[in-house]
Amino acid sequence: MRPTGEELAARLADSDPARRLEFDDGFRERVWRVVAARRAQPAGRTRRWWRPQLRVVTLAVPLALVLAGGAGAAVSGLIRIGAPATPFHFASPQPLSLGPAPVERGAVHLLAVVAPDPQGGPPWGLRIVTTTRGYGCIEVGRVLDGSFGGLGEDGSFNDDGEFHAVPPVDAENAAACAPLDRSGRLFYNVASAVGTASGTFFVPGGCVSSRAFAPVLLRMLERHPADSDLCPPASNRTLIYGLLGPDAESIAYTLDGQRHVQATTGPQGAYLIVGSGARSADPELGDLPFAAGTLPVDTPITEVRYRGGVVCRLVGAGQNGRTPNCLPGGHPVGYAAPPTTAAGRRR
Amino acid sequence: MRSDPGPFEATFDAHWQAVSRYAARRVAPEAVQDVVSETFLVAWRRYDELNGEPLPWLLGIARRVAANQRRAGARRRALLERLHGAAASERRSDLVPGDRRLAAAWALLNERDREALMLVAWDGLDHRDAATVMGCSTSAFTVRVHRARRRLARLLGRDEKGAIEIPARAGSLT
Repeated sequence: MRPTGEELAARLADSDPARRLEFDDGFRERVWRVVAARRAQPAGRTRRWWRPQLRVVTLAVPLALVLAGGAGAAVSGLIRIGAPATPFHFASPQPLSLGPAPVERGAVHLLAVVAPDPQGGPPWGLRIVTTTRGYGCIEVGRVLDGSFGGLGEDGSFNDDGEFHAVPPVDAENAAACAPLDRSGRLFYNVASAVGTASGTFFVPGGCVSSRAFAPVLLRMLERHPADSDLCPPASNRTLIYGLLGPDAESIAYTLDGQRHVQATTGPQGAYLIVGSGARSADPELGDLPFAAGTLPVDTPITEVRYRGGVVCRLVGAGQNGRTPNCLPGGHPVGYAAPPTTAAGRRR
Repeated sequence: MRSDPGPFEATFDAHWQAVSRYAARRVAPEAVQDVVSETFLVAWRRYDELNGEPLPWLLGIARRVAANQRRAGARRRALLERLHGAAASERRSDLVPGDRRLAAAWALLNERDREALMLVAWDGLDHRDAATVMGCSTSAFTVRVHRARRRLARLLGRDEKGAIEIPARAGSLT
């Protein structure tokens, strides 16, 4: 026999899980503290940006077109600048490399190199940070209005659609790092990873690609299970980047069967390739090789051109990257990073 | 003519309990504070858009924040399953234990039906305010809640004839 409306209402009311729930002043204070703290941070600036509003349309754009600057075909939209991401320190007792090292004061440099995202929006860029331990680290992320950070999408930042600046913290764990040489130069000719479209890596609330960072995720989950999240596979990005030094002029690479040429940028000879999806011979690991050597080997890069007509052709995997006739004669290869203080180094 | 909603903190003080209860009915206990905080943060950013009663507007924001939180939770569970090779436990709010028949019927309702019933029966909203929360017209909400109530009553009726297999554990709320 069906219950009457009144009976139903009474039964529902009796089953309300929050009926006898009391939220005390302590809860109120905790919530208000969070809201007040984030209100105090700079937020709410709005600027116009090229951003696709119909994702399916931009997905149909061939990658070659996108890499050649086709993101400009996206529909205009707005991206709000949200609060900066909360600084995050790795909590693992056994960090990836040598443990957290403070980022040296003033040693954070956003490079001029940018690359469009296959689905539009703010471009990708590179940032170099140097640590007090004498390491130089390259970070890759989204860039907007001169800020380096990530987007609130694919689970990041509660999908708020805003851009969030990301502070450089524990850079030696979170980025591609190498010791600076005695002259303070950073040699890092290729780094590659499967990232995520949001551009967030190891940021509380930001999603990450488990393929690329499964070991790190495991460590993070032990201490911060609520702070990490797996991004949907469609948001994977193949990121290949590096610093080829002041003598480099351009790279050529093949992606999806198309050959591309990219001029290197700045005195660092920086380059950045962003492709959609995860391109790796090892689908479980997801990462292409990291190499702090002389030449970007084992990547889609097929050629590096240096000043003076020197051309290094990198055909096939397993190049050792030290072929003498590939190096520009008489010039050091590598980026001259800002000098670290002698007192700050603990190497 | 737009009415002045007053200082944001006054709105917060007037409604944080209702928003907290709303969240507690829809997300896992450990996520309630995050949902409430995020709701008021979004509310603060968009405070100049408030035009009318604050509570339905706030609950509309909380509804979207809670939905994001549940999606994130689902992805996190999937990640844990992949990483640990086992099904991660799913923590969800449950109906108050006791009425197993209602719980079984409740579990068979779809998400929209449950939300419509919750807004009226638990959050105590009238149809106009509940429609604001769900982002539909009052008449559309009235039809929706009427149908939801009818479906629930039908399921309970079938249940009492033994047509529904009642699970050993009460069904989940969300």
